[in-house]
Amino acid sequence: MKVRRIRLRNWRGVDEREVHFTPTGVTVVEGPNEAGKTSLLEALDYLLDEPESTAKAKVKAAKPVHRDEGPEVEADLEAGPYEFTYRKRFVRKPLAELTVRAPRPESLTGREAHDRVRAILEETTDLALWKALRIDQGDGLVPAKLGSGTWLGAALERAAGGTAPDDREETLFGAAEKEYLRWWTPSGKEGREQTEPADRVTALTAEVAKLREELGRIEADVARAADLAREYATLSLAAADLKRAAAAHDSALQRIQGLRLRKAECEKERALAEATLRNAESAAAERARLVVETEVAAAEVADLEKSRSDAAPESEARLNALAEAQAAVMAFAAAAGQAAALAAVRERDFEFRRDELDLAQLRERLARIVVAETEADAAAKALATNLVDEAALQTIRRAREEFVRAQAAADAARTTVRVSAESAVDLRVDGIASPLAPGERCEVAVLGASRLELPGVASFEVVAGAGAAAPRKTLDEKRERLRDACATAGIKDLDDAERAHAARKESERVVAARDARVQENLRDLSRDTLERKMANLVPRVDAWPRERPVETALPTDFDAAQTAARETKSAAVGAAKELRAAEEARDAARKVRDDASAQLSRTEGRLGVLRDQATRRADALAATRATSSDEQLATGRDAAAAKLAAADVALRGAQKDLNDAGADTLETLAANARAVAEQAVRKLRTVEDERTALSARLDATGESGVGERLSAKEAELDHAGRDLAGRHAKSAAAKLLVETLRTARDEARARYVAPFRDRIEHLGKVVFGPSLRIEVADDLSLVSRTVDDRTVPFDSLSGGAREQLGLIARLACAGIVEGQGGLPVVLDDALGFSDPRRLEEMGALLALAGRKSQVILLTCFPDRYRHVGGATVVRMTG
Amino acid sequence: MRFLHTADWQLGMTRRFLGAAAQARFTDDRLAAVRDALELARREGCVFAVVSGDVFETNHVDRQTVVRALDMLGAAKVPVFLLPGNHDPLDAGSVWLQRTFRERRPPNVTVLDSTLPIEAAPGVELVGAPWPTKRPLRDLVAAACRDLAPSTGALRVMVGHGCVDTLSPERDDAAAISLASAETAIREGRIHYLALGDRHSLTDVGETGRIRYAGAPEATDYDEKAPGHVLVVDLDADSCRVTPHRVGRWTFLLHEADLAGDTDVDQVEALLGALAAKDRMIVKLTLRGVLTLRQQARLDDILAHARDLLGALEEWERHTDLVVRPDDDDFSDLGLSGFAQTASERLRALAAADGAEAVAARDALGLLVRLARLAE
Repeated sequence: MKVRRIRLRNWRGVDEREVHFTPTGVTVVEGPNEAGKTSLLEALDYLLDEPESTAKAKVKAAKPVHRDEGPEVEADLEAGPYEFTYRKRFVRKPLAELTVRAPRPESLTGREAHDRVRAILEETTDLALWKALRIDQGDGLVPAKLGSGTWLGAALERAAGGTAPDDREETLFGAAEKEYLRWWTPSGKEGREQTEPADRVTALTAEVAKLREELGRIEADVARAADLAREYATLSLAAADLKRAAAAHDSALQRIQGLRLRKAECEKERALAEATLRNAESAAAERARLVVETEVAAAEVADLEKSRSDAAPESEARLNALAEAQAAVMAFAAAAGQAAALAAVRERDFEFRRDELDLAQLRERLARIVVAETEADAAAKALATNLVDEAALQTIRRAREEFVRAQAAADAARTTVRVSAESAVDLRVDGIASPLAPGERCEVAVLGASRLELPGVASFEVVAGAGAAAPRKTLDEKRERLRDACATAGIKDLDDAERAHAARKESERVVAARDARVQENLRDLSRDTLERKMANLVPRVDAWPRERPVETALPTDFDAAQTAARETKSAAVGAAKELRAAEEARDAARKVRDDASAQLSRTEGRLGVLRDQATRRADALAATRATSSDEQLATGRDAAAAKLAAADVALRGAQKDLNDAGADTLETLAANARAVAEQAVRKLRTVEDERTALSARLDATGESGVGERLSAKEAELDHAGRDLAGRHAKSAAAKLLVETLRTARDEARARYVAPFRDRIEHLGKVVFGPSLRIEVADDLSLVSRTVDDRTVPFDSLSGGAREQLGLIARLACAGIVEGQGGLPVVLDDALGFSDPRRLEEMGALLALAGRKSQVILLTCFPDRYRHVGGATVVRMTG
Repeated sequence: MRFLHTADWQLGMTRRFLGAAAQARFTDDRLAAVRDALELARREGCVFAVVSGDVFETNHVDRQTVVRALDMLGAAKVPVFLLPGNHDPLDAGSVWLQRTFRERRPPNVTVLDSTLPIEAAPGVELVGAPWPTKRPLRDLVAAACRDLAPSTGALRVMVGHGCVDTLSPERDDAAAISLASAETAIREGRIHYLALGDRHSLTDVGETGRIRYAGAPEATDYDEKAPGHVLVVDLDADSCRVTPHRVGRWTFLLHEADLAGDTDVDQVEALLGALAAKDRMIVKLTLRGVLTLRQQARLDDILAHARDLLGALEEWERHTDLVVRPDDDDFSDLGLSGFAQTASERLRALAAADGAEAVAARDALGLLVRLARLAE
């Protein structure tokens, strides 16, 4: 289809406008907004799609606002072989007029005109593709949906050498897919229409198997019951036979029992004969033994008597030796007694001298103890009277010193009267005679007042001055204190005190040393022990000199006594030793004699016993022989032996009879027959039990109706199986059909994708360069663009690139369908996303496309398409 | 003396080619046929009825089947004698020994469980040859006859079950009934009539006219001849008159046809359309030949319609016997083009071969044609 001209009248804001388009090539319609560019396309759509009488709101909206006129559109169009002018007015005074010029003139109006144009377009134009090739305002980024166009498909098929498909194929494919989805899931698995019947078949198969098994069990039971019935009959017969056989065996066994009794009697008789023989033999043996024993006893008596008489001389010699040994013992005993007595005296002598010495020492120690005690007692007494202890002594010493110092002070203060005698004078000082020899001098110290007298000659009253009074008083006090101190201590003066103190100290030492001195002499003894020891020793020491034998002299001292004691003791030991030797010799002789006499007495005893025994045996033998002679015994034994032999013969006979009767075999057979009969009975019982159990089981299962249920289920399974087979056939057919259709369709699509892609790449290289590769899906949508080996998915491309590729795809498409009469590519305000360089390239590309197709560009930007070479430019003004 | 001879009731039988509803109908009708037979016996003045074996389909029928049968028997106005046959032998698991049967057996019903003669009516003795197991290893009828003394005036009817040796397909069947020895027994007057069961076709055996198979009272399979009858027997020592009466309702039809084109398909349609009492008709078609997809589709429609009407329409091995070969006509008016055309050509190539894939391809083509027509 080609649009040659469009004229609008009273269309929205446009009063009247007419635009001519070049049939092949690019027409650029420029104009500002609201100049009516988009109205051109709108009017063309309504002209072709809507009847003139339409009441659609969108059509009504095309009516001009300020005029009561119907919007009107007229177009010159070419479609296939048809060329026509088509005019419609809507809303007000609607009309439709068609004037067909080629291939033959036609002129129609109203509905006829509308229908005729629809028919022409249906016949010649792919209307869907016509819409798809347009880019309306704002559609720039919407990818072209070209795959639905049958024109394009047909063109592409032709390009690929195939035949043109139509919508019916797709409808058929859709129906086949619907049928397929009845049986299969979209992912190709069996759908419910298949799985549910299959599950049913599976379930029924299981049920049938179960019922068959159940029936099999029942039939096995029935078969077993029949077997058991037969077995029972057989066993019953066999049991009866066995019972009869056992009875026959029993009568044979009774005869055997008789033979066995006879044999038992024979055995009894034989045992009796055997016992008799044993008794006879035993009596004979006893007799023989008795004879031998009697003889032996007589011989023993004779032997013993002989040995006794042989031993008599030897016995006497032994007695003599003993007497000699006894005499020697007596002699040695006397000597030893003397030596021992002497040794005893000497020992006592030694003890006496030792006691004597001990006593002297003890006495000395006791004396020293008494001295110590006496001295200590005296010292204690002295201490009781001596009051000058250390403190008293010190007090006195201090009083003395103070007195001396007071005296010195008094002396210094006193008045001294020095007297020198020129001749002997009888001087008296204060009444005290102090005669002086010629030349002698004396001084008299005067404290207060003193009186010097020369009796008869003169008396002088010397009075000390007042300064001497105080020292004198002090001196008097000190003197008094000294005197008091001495008086308290019971002594005269200091010297006396010193002496008394020394004596006191000595007394204290003696008292203190007392215990040490006593202990030193007591050593390890107490005083009592010591005294007791002395008391013990004293009588002994006193007694021995009086008591001892006078034959020997008492040794003079301790050492002599000790030596004498040692020597005599040694002599006594030697004598004792000799005595013991003599005693041992005597004991040995005595033992020899005792042994001999014991032997003799034993011999005598034994002889007595043997004589008794010999006598008893001889008596016993005689007695038994009186009862039965030796010959009688022998005869009895022989008779018993003969009887035993006869019993043996009888027993062997009985045993033989028993053996001949086959007792063992018969018994074995009888026992076996019994066992077999019992076994048969047991088996019969087992069979009976099993029959009972089986019968009970069959009673229980018999009415379950399993046979009928099984055939009903089998029928059901059969139906289900056939149903399933039918479904499988149908589903397989649907699958095969869809797969075959899909494969064929995919192949066809793949075939016409190639020329489409080639055409896009041919055009697109102008814009994207020679390395451009485009991937196109089977539905002819664009998948990706590859430039310089960089592949970008279509949706990830920039807005400009997407718009450019969308336009290129449309131009390619238009080029491809040109052979069918072509479709215009209409772009309303497109390429708004392209930069100036791209616009230039797109201009070249549009020019290239325009060589084959009709391209109509509407724009309000005159510059946008200035690079489209050879374009026809139509300017619209507002 | 008049009595009713019937056999092979096989109550509790299931036919696997029947749908659930048809099976229920079939089961009810089989019991109704027996009921009608016993009513006939009363009407015709029969002194008793004998059932020559296979009263039940199996020893392991549902309790309900047994109870219903006993109820029906109890309602009958004649004494009924039942013989255990190969389907319901007198073994340890036998239906005859089950408590339900023992306790609910009506007084007019007797099981012929031994070969001892029973007085069925004054002057009439019945001798049964019951099956003791499923597989007896001897001629039970001959064995029963052997033990019999010549009759002393009474009419003697022997009731047996199994295949007569002259009809038996198995030459060495130990259990086959010797026709010769049976006829000898009749000639010698030991028995006067041998009422047989097992064979579902109404059959007069041998020369005497006194050895008969009553056949099944209701048809059970395609190969049965004159099924659906019972026999009213008028018997005395000198004569034996046997009158068959139809009591069955169901028919089995086996039809074979070669199909080569639309005319043959038309004939199948006509045949099925002409059938009477369709709901009690069981049909098995064995069709051979070659059909186009279009003819096949038509045949399928005809068969689907018949299946809705008939008691049962059995499938046949269509893929081996009836070949579908698509031809150009199948596709010429479909106007297939483009990939659909390609797909159909490929499927046709596949369908022309053999094997499972070819079958699937033919089915796929059938589907394609159907869908394409729907799309038109």
